[in-house]
Amino acid sequence: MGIQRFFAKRLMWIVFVLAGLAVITFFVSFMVPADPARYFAGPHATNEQVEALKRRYGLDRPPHEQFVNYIIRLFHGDLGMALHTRRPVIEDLKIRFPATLELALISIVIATLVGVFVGVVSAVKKDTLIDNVMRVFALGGVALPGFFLALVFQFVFYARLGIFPSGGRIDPHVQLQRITGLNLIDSAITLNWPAFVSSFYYLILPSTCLAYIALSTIARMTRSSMLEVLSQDYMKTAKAKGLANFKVIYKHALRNALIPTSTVIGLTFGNILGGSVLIELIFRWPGVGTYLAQSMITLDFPAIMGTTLLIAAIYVIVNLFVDIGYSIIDPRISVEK
Amino acid sequence: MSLIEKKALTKIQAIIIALIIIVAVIAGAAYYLFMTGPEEAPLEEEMELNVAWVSEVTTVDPHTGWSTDSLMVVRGCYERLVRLKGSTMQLEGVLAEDWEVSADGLEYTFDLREGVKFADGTPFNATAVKVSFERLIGIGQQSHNFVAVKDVEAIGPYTVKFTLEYPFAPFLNALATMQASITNPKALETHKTADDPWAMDWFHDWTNGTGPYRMKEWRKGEGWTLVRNPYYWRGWEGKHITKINMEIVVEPATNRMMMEKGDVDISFWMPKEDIPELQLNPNLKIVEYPALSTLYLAFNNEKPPLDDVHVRKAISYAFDYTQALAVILYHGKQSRGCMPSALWGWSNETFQYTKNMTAAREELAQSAYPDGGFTLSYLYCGGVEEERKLGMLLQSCLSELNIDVAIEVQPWATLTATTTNPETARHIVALFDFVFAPDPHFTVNDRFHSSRIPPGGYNWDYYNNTEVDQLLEQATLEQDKETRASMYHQVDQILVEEAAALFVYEESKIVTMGAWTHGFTPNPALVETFNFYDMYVVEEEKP
Repeated sequence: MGIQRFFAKRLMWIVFVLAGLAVITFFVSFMVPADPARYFAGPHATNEQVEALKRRYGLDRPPHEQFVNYIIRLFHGDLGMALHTRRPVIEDLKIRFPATLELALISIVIATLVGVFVGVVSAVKKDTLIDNVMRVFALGGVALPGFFLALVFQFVFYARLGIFPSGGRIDPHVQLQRITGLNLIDSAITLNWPAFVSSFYYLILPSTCLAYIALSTIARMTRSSMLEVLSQDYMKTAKAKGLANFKVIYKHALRNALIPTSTVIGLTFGNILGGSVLIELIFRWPGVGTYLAQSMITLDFPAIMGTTLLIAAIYVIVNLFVDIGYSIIDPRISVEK
Repeated sequence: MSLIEKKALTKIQAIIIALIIIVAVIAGAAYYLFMTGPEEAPLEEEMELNVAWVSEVTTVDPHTGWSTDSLMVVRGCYERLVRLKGSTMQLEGVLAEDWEVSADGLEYTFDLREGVKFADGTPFNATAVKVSFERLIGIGQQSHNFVAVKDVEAIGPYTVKFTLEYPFAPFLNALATMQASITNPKALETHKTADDPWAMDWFHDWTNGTGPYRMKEWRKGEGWTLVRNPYYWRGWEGKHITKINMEIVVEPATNRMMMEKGDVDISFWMPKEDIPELQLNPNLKIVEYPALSTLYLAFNNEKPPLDDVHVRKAISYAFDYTQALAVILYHGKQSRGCMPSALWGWSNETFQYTKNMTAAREELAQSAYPDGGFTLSYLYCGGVEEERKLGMLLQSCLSELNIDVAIEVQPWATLTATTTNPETARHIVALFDFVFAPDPHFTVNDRFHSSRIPPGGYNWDYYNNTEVDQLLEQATLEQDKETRASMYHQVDQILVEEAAALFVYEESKIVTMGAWTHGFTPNPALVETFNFYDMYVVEEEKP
C-alpha cells in the first residue's frame, strides 16, 4: 500500500517536473535570436527557400501558437523534427538512447562492483599500504579528466597494442538485426554469436573508461561510510558474538554503509545516462551525448528540447528508484515520508 | 540446523544454475558452429575504402542537401548531365553526350547517353531528367541556381530541352553542381505519399541514381556503407573501389591514430598543426590543393563609420596579411580580390592590399574620422578558431590607428540571424565562403549584388553599387566565357578599389591519405568530396 501511494505521488511529480522543463526549454529557445531555417537552407539560399523551410517546420507561426502545437505533439509522443538530421527527434533518440543505455549499464555495474570492493577493502585495511594504494587509484578517477583517460586508453590499447578497436559499437562487417537497440540483448535474442562477441569487445574500452571515473566517487563514499559504521558499537557486538569477519563486514557493516553509496551510484548512473559527451565522441559511441553536443552546436532547438526532456526524465526516474532502493537496503526507512 | 538446510538448498540451486549456463553456452556455440552455415560469399573480391568524416551526414537527398557531408554521398551515388573534367573547371558530358544552346541563350537541348541504368536496373531517359528537375524545383530548398528555368521538356526518349525565362549564361555550369543530380523517377513513384509528394522521407535515407554506388546501410550516428551499383554504365572492369565505409571520427587525435594504423584510407580532417609531422611519415601522402573557398571579413558598408570608403581602405591597409597567413591560417594564400584564384574570372592584375601604415594613416586622414577614436564590432562564428585569432590580430593592427575592435562570438545559427537583420548587423563579420558551382556568378553576384542584401540573400557586406549591379547582370546575359571573365575581373577591381570587404585568404584543402590509396583527383569546386570510382587501394602497401 505504502509503496504504491509513494510511487503514484512521485510519478505525479515527474509529470510536473517535465511540464515545467518543457515550458522553460521552449521559451529559452525563443530568447536566442537564432534562425535555424536559414542555417539549414545554406548560406546561398534565397529568402523564398528559407520561408519554405520555415513553413515546412512550422517556424513561421507566432511563439504561443508554436508552444501549443509543441505541447499537443508532446502528448502524441512527437518531439518535432530535428533540423540537423532532418529526422523526427524521437526517431533519433530511439537510436541514440539504447546505445547510451547499454554503455551506462555496463559501466555502472563495473563501477559498483569494483568501487564498493575498493571502498570496503580500503576501510577495513585503513591506513595500511593497501588502503593508500587503493585511495590513490580511486583518486585518479576524480583527478583525471575523462577525455584524457579515454585518449590514453585509445593510444595504448588501440594504436600501440592493437588489441581493441578505436571506437564504434560493433564491427561494421558484422550484421545485426535491430530489436531493442541494445546490441548485447539483440544479438542474444537472435542467437547471433559473432555480433554478441563483437558488441562486447567494442564495449570494453569505453565502459572501462566511464567506470573508472564513476568508481572513484563510489569507492570514496563507501570507504568513508564504512569507516563510520565499523566504529559503531554493534560491530563490536557482532564480532564478540563470534561471527566470521567476512560476514561482519559484508553483511552487517556494508549493508548499513551502502545507503549513502547507493545515492551516489544512482546519481552517477543518471549522469552517464545523460550522455558523457567526450567519452562518446572519442570512442565514436553514437549516444545521446554526441547527439546533444551536435544539436547545441547547430542550435537545433527541437533536438535540444527533446534530449533535455529525456535526460530530465531519466534523472527523476533514477532518483525514484534510488529512494525505493533505500527501503530495501534498510527496512527501517519508510518510503511514506 | 536451519542454517545447514539453507546452505544445502543454495548448493542445489547453484548446481541447477550452473547447468543451465553450461547448456546455454554449449547450445549457443553449437548453433554458431552448425546452424549459421557458410557466410553468403561476395560475388567477387571487394575493394573497400575506409573514409573518416568529422560529422554525421545531414541527408543524402541531392535536392535538399548542401553541406559537403551530403554532397560527398551524392557525388558517388548520382550523376549529372555534365561534370567537371578532372581537376579543371572545364565541363564534359556524363549523362548528356552533347548539347546545343540556342542563339538567344534561352533554349538548351541535350542529347542523352543511351544504355544507362539506375541502381535498380531502371533505364535512364529524358523523362528522368524532367522529373528530377521538377522535384528539385518543386521542393524548392536548393533550387537557387535554377531560378531561371521555365520549363523542362522531354522532346524525345533521349533528348531533353530546358527553356529559360531569360538568358542565363551560368546555367551550364550550374548543371555540374550536385543539386542537378538525376534521380530515379520510379523510386519517386514508389515512395511518394499524399503528405510527401516528393518522397523526401525516402530520399533522405536512400539513394537511387545512375552513379557507381548506392547506399546500403546508414548506421545513424556511426557511419554508412555504400556498395557498387551493378548496372553502372562504365562497368566494373579494372581497378575500382567497390565498397565504401565511412565512419564518423570527431576527435582529430583518434583520426590520426586510425590513419597511421591503416584503418582509415583517406581523410580531410587532420589537424593543421599536425601536418608538418605527418609529412615525415613515409606511409602517408598529403596532398594540398586549391579550393573555391575564401575567408573574408565582411564590412557592413551601410553602417557608419564603415560607410566611409576611406575608413574601409585604411583598415585594408592596416591589416597584417603576412602575419595572418604565417601564424593563423598556415596553408593557402592571401586573397587577391573577392574570388579564389582557382576560379576563372580571377586575375593577378587585381590590386592586393598589403600592410602599409603610412597609406592607412593617409586614408584615415581623408575620412570623416581623421583621428580614429571609434569602436568596431567584430563578429565570428563559435568554434572557428581561425576567425577568433583573426579578430585579435585585427584588434592589434587597428589599435595603431586608434580604432578599437570589440570581438564577439555567436553560434552560426545566431550569427546568421544577427547579420541578416539590418538592425542588429555588426560592423564586421568573419566568413568562410565555400562555393560549389564553377562559375564566378555564384560567388560574386550572391555577395555583392544589391538585390542580395539581407534579408534577400548573402550580401552580408550590405554592398550597393549600381555599376557593379549592371556588370553582374550583363555577365549573365553574355554567352562568351572570355568576355564574362573580363566582366567579373572589372567587378573585382571595383570591389577592391572600394574596399568592399577585407579579402583575407583563399584556402587550400589538405587531404591526408595512406600511401596505399590511389587515384584521388582533387577538384577546387568539389572540395571535401571524392571521385570514388577512379580510386583504388593496394592492400599489400598497407603498414
